[in-house]
Amino acid sequence: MSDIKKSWWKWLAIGLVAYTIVGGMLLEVPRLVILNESIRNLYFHVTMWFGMIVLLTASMVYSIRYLSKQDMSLDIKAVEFANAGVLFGLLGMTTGMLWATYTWGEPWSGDPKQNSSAIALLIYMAYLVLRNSLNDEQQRARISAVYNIFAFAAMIPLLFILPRLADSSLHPGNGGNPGFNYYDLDNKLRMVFYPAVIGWTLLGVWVASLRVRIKEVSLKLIDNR
Amino acid sequence: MKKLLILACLLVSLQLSAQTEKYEITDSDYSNKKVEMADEMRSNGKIYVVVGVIFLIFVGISYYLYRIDKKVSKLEKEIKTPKE
Repeated sequence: MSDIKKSWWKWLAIGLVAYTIVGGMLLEVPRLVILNESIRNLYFHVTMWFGMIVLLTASMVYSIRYLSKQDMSLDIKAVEFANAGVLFGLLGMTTGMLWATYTWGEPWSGDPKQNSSAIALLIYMAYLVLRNSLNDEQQRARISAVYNIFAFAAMIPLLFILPRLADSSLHPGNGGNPGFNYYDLDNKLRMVFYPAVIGWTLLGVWVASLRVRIKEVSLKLIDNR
Repeated sequence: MKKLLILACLLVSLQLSAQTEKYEITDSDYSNKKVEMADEMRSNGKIYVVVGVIFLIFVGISYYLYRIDKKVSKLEKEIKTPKE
């Protein structure tokens, strides 16, 4: 499993992201006012958030499995998937602010989705801080697993429900704005968007799995000493 | 069963209410020359150079990840069969 030549999904990740970069930059996109060429950010900014959701879901599942099996390797997986998820979230946040500067006029306009995704990220950063504040391994794993499940349960309404309940939002699909399927509907955009989501997500899984393996190796080295 | 049915009705109604707000992208959006796009970049603005640069950076990052992956695999093997 650890041999890279045998793990096809890593090659798939590289291929799909390479296709996203070339296809996403060069293939035809609809000519829409205000958005102009920046509609191509759909393949880069939006996919970061999709990747983050998948990675954080995986982290939450590992936390639940840790609580039922008390296996330390599941705890390591939970942290590293959360780490990769937070990285994707921060990238989504910064790319979104850059995009917003040129389409909405300012990097931060207090948009419901901007605010709630910032809160969700802070909740997850608190998870990483919480882990560092506990010294006992078992205790750290158990408490942070419970917190991680809570963090996921808090993130879902923050990202998917509250922004839609808001009166108005600049993000498509929230408030009075047209649905996300506004982009999604179009087949030409879809041809790059779906592979992009899969590619970036797999890349995130790869980074997370590398960190998991490094941590396991270093733990074994400590045991052997 | 009843609950599932109510849930399905809810989902369908949500879908319908969302539909009224949707903006459908049509072919005319692709040929709307009034909207400014990077047309000049495409004809002589050397956009392909930029795409090439980004692509090369990504190749570099993938190779770097590949190398880290191989190194970790090597460490894992060494731990399984100690040299001593």
